Amino acid sequence: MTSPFQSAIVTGASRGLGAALADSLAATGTRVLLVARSPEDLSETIGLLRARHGIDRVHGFSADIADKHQTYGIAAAAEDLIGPVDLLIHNASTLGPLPLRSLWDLDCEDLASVLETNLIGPFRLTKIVAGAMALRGRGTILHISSDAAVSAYPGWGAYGVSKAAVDHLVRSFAADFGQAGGQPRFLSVDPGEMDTRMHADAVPDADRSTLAAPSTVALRILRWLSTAPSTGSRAAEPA
Amino acid sequence: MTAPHPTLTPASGPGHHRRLLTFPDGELQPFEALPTLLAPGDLVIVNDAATLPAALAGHTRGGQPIEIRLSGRSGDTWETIAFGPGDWRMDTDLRPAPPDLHVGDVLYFQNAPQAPHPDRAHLCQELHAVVVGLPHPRRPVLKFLADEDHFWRLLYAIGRPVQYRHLATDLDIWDAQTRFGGPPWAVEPPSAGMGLTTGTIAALRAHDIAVASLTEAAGLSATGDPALDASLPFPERYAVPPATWAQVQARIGTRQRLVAVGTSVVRALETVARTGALSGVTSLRLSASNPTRVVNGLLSGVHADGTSHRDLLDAVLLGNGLPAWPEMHRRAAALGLRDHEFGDGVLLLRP
Repeated sequence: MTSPFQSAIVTGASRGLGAALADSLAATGTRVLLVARSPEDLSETIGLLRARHGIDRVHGFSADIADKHQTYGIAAAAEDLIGPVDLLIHNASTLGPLPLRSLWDLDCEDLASVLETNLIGPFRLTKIVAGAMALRGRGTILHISSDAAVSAYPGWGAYGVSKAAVDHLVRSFAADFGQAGGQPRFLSVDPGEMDTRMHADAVPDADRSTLAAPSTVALRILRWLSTAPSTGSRAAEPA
Repeated sequence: MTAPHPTLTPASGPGHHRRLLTFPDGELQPFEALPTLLAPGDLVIVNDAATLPAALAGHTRGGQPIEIRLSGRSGDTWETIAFGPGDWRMDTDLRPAPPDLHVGDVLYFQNAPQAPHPDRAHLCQELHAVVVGLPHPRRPVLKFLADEDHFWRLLYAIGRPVQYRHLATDLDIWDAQTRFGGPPWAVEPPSAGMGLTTGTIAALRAHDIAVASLTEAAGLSATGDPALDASLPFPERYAVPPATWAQVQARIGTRQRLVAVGTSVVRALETVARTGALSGVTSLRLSASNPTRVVNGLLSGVHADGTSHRDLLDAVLLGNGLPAWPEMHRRAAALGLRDHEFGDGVLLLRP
């Protein structure tokens, strides 16, 4: 499958779904900038992907997406290293404190911190990138969502609240940018349960054999993107 | 010609309501009225350069403090202006000279001492650069000692946007941008475009006014050295996409006007008109004696006399049969317009 995207930023890309999306995009010719918090984890993943796809196509930027002061450089690095960005994937997420606990047992600051990483951080990065996309008349901004945004699972409150907010952020951005020309497109996708460290953190005793591989899910997500879903759309476990 | 002009009020900073003074009619309009001030078929060209945090605080190997302001990039080296001790709150012209530099010297840059949050002290990192050229004691050419991926992270962690003394508080990188910045080329904000929201751009297009972009490395406006200041603007990198130039060419010699948002756009367009090169480095200096040939309109700030922008304004005015700048400056001052970066704007249009 050749990619309709020239250059993509993927956050939370040092492992799991983020790394799989970066890998799948690079395989189709997209230039990718991987963003992750840990320089060591990121470096290892960059090395792997560069061995597969070449040095020019894969770049990295270590940053904490929750930190306003670390956000701006991501967009600048992307423009310089991979060219004008036409796909931004907000994949970096936190579950909040582990093990998962009821909202009753959650500190107020923990909820704020989860929102900072899962909602406000992506909002900031979108603000930096979307204007250039609107001027060029093309771009896609995809948020990785969750079934927890729709169903209230006990113990998943902080994460679920943040993802529900993300889904409405997508619809709201789509409405705002719809008034202003319709580009970039805003989308969200619930990838379904995957065999990742995040899942293991949340559900330590899950039967991992029942979980989808991130690489498989990444391909399904890219296939869904290639159908050009309309702005404001949300897909749940695309086939 | 040499009569003193009334002083314009310095702007308070980004975020205040911006107004446009239109010429030749001399009317004051809200910025959002821009789509009604142009005609269907006109082409608005913006500079999509993002503003770098171009000011780096550091020291020499001997521990002498130095501030470097990036002035332009050429491959993997950077042209810069060096300043001595002090910071942006000191008048540029009054800063002490920088330490003596030599080719081969290494400079060490680090986070500003006043880190935004003490609990992020662990993020303090260093960025090193070697002096690879010294065309002037205050203009070292630097090569940064970091691979390209790390360079961008360190530059944005350590650098600060070039500040303006007339503003009350530090300018954050977030405040120094247009809404649509992309390539990190500008070392000072291409501020003429800062009033344009995505809504304004959409409204222009809805009025059949085309909007296109180019990238121009808007440069430093002050060096702190009168002799160096006299040679401003320095050569600046530019790139005009073929699609943008095609839209420009279709309008040359017609009633449809080419309206530049900012002097950096004028410089780039007039360079292409003269040389045919869609990208490169421009040393073009426009003035009353070298007026514009293709640009028919300019959206710009209300710049004070004596800046290099003033010459470019005169070039646009003369090139389009508009009254001289002193008359417009009097009108602007009489209306209480705010000058310098982040002030109100003027819209000059060929009648």
